Amino acid sequence: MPVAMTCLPLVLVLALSLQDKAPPSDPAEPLRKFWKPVTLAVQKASAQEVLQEIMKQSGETLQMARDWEPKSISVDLKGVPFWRAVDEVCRLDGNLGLHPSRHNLELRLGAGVPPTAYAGPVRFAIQEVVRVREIRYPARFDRTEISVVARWTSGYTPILDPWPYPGTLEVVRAMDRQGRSLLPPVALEETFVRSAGGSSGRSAEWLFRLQPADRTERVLPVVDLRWKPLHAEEVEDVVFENPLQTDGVARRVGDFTVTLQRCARDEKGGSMIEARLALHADSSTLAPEARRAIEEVPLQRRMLNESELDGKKGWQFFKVMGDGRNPFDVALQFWMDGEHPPQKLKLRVARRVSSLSIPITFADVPIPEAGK
Amino acid sequence: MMIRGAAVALALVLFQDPELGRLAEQLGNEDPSQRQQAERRLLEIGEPARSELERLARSKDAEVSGRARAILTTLDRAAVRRKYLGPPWTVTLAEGDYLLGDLPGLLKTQVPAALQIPEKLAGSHLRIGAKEMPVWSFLDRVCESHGGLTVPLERPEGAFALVEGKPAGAPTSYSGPFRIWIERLTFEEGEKWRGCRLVYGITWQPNVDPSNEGMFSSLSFHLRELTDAAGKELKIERDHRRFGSGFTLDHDRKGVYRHYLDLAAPPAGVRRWGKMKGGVTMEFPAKVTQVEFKAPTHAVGTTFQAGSTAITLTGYRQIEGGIQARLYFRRTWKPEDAEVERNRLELRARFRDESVVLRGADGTDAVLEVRSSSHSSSDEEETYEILGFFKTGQEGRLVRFPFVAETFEHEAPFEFTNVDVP
Repeated sequence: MPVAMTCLPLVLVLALSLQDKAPPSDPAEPLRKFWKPVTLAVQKASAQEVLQEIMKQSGETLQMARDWEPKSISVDLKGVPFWRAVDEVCRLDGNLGLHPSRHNLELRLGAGVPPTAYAGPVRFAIQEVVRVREIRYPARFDRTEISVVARWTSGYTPILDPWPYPGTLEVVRAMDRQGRSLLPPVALEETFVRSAGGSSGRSAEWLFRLQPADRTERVLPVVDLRWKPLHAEEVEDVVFENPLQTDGVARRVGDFTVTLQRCARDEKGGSMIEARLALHADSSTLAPEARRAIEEVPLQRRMLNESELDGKKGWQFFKVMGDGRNPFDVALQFWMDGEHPPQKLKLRVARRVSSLSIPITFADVPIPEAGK
Repeated sequence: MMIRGAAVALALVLFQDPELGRLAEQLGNEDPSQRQQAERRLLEIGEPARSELERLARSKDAEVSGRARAILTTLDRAAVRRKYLGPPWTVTLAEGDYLLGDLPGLLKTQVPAALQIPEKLAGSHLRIGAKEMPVWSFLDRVCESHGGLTVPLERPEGAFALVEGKPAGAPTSYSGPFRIWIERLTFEEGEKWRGCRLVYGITWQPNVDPSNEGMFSSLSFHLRELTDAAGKELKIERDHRRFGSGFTLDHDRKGVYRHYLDLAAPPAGVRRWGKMKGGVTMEFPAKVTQVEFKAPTHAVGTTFQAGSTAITLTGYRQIEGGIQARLYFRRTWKPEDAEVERNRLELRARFRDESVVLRGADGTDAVLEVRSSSHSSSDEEETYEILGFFKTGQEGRLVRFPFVAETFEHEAPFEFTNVDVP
């Protein structure tokens, strides 16, 4: 075979590969498919009608605030994500905001709009800043606590890694007006303290404990974060019919297999069904790129944390069995409510996964006044 | 201690029988003041008078038998208190320079629990002296004097320990066999909440065994008096963080308990609390009942009454590898007693899962492995249910376990002085 012909496919693969790796201009662009843009230009319309139009265009729903008297507003939105559009309406109305609790997907009177940043389907908001002066005898642990809440649209199912967070979120820069850094974070034993809160179906909360801000400061001009989620580029539904009788059945997902190794009622009591999955890729036959991809993102991180049992969707927690050190061979355990024998178990598995790195920037974050 | 008690009892039998006989007669005297005097004296004599009191409790004279039974009940209670709430231990040591490594030996004759010290510091010196000092206070003094030792959060089983570290210097109160301290003070200033969190700890000598270890209710810590540095009384304003996003509690440590109290921010200008006074309430077993379900296959649906708790065997069936059993506990009260009753020792703290056993035909016991449990309480009742598994090849003759049917409370008072607001 001529050398040129042998090399051509390699060159093509390399070119395609390089094309794949080219950084997109918007770091959140890979998440574009998880949200529908809102485009809207209205003059002096009821804020409530504007919100309804936003929900219609985006396919998202929010519960309206009770006793709200919507104002007349003018907006000009061009292809913006749902959350940005909602926040804009709340700002213009002046008496409305998302419920501060991450568990509520509703608008609330007087809630206002906190410092907010957007990354495609995800909205990040600084929900609270607290000055903490603390003595843990004999040491002091004074700090500034910043809680950040992320909410995402219904079409987005993040991979919860590290569990239970949809990616890592770290503070890369936090400054006061004098240019003093609030880094490094304050490390302490986490008992009897405000906790980060974790994630639920459509939201997650992080808590950052930073160095204490000067007592005279009222604003942090710079708070830069970096969100590093795992991005499920291609997701496949893996279905097991009659799972209680499906022990050992394997399904192929791209370069690896997902086997339902065991699915049975806990024989020692309880109503739960215990299931075990084996995710396996034959590393000796994998193409170098596929092999590298699994080494970078091990198979246990390919499961989307949701399952569907007889059409009923639910969150799922997959526990890694053993040390999970072999990225090509992973055993996962999980439990399902088993009141009735299930007919169909549907799991969602990411065939291809990539790591994203998205800057999340907040400006002029207010901090509470220090007491006298 | 037991030998000494037995000797006193023997001496009373041999030499004080006349007094006991006289008191027995006096207990039936027509004069009420004489009867009361006899009762007081018999209570003073205590355990050595038990056999005489047991004889009197069978008396045909209702007055005598009634009073004897009442005294016996008091003695029983005192015996239970001694069992679970041992006496405070003290240390007396002449002021002087000591080798740290010598302290465990010196304490051995005074405190019936070993003192563990870091071996590598055994050769270090410290200056200390004590006169009938509570053992916890003594240990804190040792730490301060040494400078490189601290009392660890968790006490070893049946012993005391000092570990390497900086002495905490935390506000500490010594109360009988208890050591109560402020572990942490946090002052928070946020848009949603402005106030103080006080994290306190309580630990006890190895001769103390509270039932609610790891399960104190938040109402166990009572702060009753709060003053500023000048002694002016401050209003105790309990506050709780709104939008509290959950707090981590540590319930797993042994021999120690920590909890917190949220207080409203002190008035402007108050930089120090002069006095913080109150108490920590604990519960101890007053009556332990042996719960038994005989022939459990046929006992499903039957109820065993243990004090105010009804315990029902609601399930018992053979499955592969053993037996699955379900137990249901229920305690009820009147709505007006809810505030008190809801804070009593929880049902799940009244027995240990591993003490529930199934006795087989050959006399061996299989221990219950609990698979699931559920707990609930309302203004009228508290319920608890466990589903578990006995790994056994036998049918089983008896399900049994000890259960705390009644409890008594003890409050350890505390007083902290000159505590700085952080």
